[in-house]
Amino acid sequence: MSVIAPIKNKKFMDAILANSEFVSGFDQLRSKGNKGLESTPFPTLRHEYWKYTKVSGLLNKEFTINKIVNPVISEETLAMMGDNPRLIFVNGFLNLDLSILPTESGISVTGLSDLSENDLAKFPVDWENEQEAFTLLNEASFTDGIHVSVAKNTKIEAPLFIVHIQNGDKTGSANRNYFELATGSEATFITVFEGDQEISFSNQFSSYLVADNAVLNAFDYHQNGDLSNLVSVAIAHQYANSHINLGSYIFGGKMLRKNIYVSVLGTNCETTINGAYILNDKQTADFRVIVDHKAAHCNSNQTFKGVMSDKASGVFNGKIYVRKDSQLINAFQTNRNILLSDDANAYSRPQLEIYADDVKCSHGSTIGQLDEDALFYMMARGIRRLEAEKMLVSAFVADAIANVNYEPFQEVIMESIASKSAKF
Amino acid sequence: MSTPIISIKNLHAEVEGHKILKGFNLDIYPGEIHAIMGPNGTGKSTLAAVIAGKDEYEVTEGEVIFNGKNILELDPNERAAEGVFLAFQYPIEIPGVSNTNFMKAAVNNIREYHGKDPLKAKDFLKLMKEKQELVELKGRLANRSVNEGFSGGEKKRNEIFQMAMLDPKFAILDETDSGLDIDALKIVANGVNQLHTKENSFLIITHYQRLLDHIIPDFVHVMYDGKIVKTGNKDLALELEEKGYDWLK
Ligand SMILES: Nc1ncnc2c1ncn2[C@@H]1O[C@H](COP(=O)(O)OP(=O)(O)OP(=O)(O)O)[C@@H](O)[C@H]1O
Ligand SMILES: [Mg+2]
Repeated sequence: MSVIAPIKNKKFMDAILANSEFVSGFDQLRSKGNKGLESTPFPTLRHEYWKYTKVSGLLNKEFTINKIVNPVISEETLAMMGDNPRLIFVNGFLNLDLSILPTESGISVTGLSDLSENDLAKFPVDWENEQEAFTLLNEASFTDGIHVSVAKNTKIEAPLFIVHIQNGDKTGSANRNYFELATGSEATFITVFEGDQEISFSNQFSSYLVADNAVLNAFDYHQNGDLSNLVSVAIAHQYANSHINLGSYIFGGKMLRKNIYVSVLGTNCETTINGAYILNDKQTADFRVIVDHKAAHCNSNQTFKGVMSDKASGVFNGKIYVRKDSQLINAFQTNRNILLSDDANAYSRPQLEIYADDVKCSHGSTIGQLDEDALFYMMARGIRRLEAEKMLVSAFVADAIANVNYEPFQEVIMESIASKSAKF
Repeated sequence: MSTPIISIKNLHAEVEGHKILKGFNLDIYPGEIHAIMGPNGTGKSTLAAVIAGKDEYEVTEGEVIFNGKNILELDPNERAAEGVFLAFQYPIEIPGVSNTNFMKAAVNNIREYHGKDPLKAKDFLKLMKEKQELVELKGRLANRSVNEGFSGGEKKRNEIFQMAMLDPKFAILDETDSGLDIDALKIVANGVNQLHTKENSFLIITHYQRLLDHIIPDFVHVMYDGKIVKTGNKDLALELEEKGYDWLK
């Protein structure tokens, strides 16, 4: 008689999967996720890409996905959104009462409940079959999501806000959102995360299909609650002459893990992926960023800036692939970090894997402190130390937010940098 | 006689165990201009840094009374707010912080220290414009990052501009004349002379007597091995230019 080994983290999975209110009609995807979970363990520190972020505490808890009503949207977010269209998710359920659908012609939003698996078959779901347990869990447990499509040769002027609000103790949420930019189209998406101060777990998946000559701007702004956890996967395919411009800005949240995969599949593409994380307390932000150049004659640029104080830790794992026939590639990647306390940590591993010969690639990372000479100089002019630190942090982070093309959002980020540095 | 604006008594300071200031004494009264000359490495910049409050330097003995207060107990920004200014021998570049934002923070933090409201944007810009004209910088550096990519001369003029903006009671100019061409030297000297009143005082650290042709000092001191070894009037500077320092060692 053989002994069946107990499935690890079963309670964690069961609690999340217990929710029955999930959108129906995605049986294949759900069973793929469920099946994958049978053979894919959740990461530990032994996992190559999870060396610095411990999730055992998270996996010991039982989160449930519950619909709630009457959530609060922060004043800051309301002010930033202005009259712009918005999709409000509350604990992972799209709330149409709070949402304002886009009215510009050329952009349409469809809830996943009105779609079938076939409609989404064209979207990328993974990069080189890389499947992490959290992503599989997302496939098995997602409750809701949207499909946004932008019509051929239309430029959508208003940014579309997607707001995820997480409320309630030990609540979870899981979503899958799909964005399709047809040939020659352009749009900007700003995703905001916020919530209350309870322990929570959000599991997000976004897929982007960017056709020839299209321009995608997509930014994530994290003001997640202090005890919230988030894992997310963003995966994009881009085709000839297209631009992808991504940004990830982290201020709130206890543990955030973000996997970003961009496959460049056509020539003459531009790819920008930036990130900034300003962390204190025991916050962790962990990035895994892949840019895969599968076509010639393209440029990609990554700028990630981390500022960590207290016991916070920032992790950056980045890899640029340049495939065999992808000549004339310029690919750059930098991750610079400032540590403001002895207990803060930065782990940085930028990597290149190049199989073509006519390419210009560079990568670099630094970990340092604020420039004491500059601080003294500023103080010698009467500037208080805290103010001087704030100014230096803002200056340090500036080039990671330079790609944000919606000014009110850029201002909000700058204010967040300033107000977060005031907590150091 | 009035009281000194700054009184430095038996000042001893060291860095990483090296004794640099070894019993430095100097009183400066309101309205006076003092010059300090002396060979390389005798501690002139160290003296300036100790007065401005750089914490690498440990004061082991002595005191610095500024305007009746023991400023060694204050943070550098508090000293600046009390009216101490140091024009750096090597001004620091601060990438990403514009000259305008830098000065706005400085002016308003000092106002806050004195319980005043921040300057209105309009008044601040007017002040900037006026003081830039004084050093003939003409606003062209305002939007650039502090000192970043400035020529040596521009950096020194920017120090004088900052001094003019903050209108200190007591300013130390640490080799502000080094690396300046004749015209820039005159601009700097002119800036100092315009700011010089009966109330505020200057301590000018220099290796060359030519600056002292334009800014006439009341006293010239020779510093050697961490203290003053000789004091005279402006003629002493000429004598030093001729004879060097060996006769004083
Ligand atoms: N941070 C430091 N660490 C170690 N030694 C220092 C430090 N700062 C100054 N010193 C030493 O102290 C001595 C005095 O330096 P200081 O810069 O005050 O001289 P100075 O009189 O201004 O010279 P100069 O005319 O060349 O500007 C020098 O020997 C210098 O090397
Ligand atoms: Mg010196």
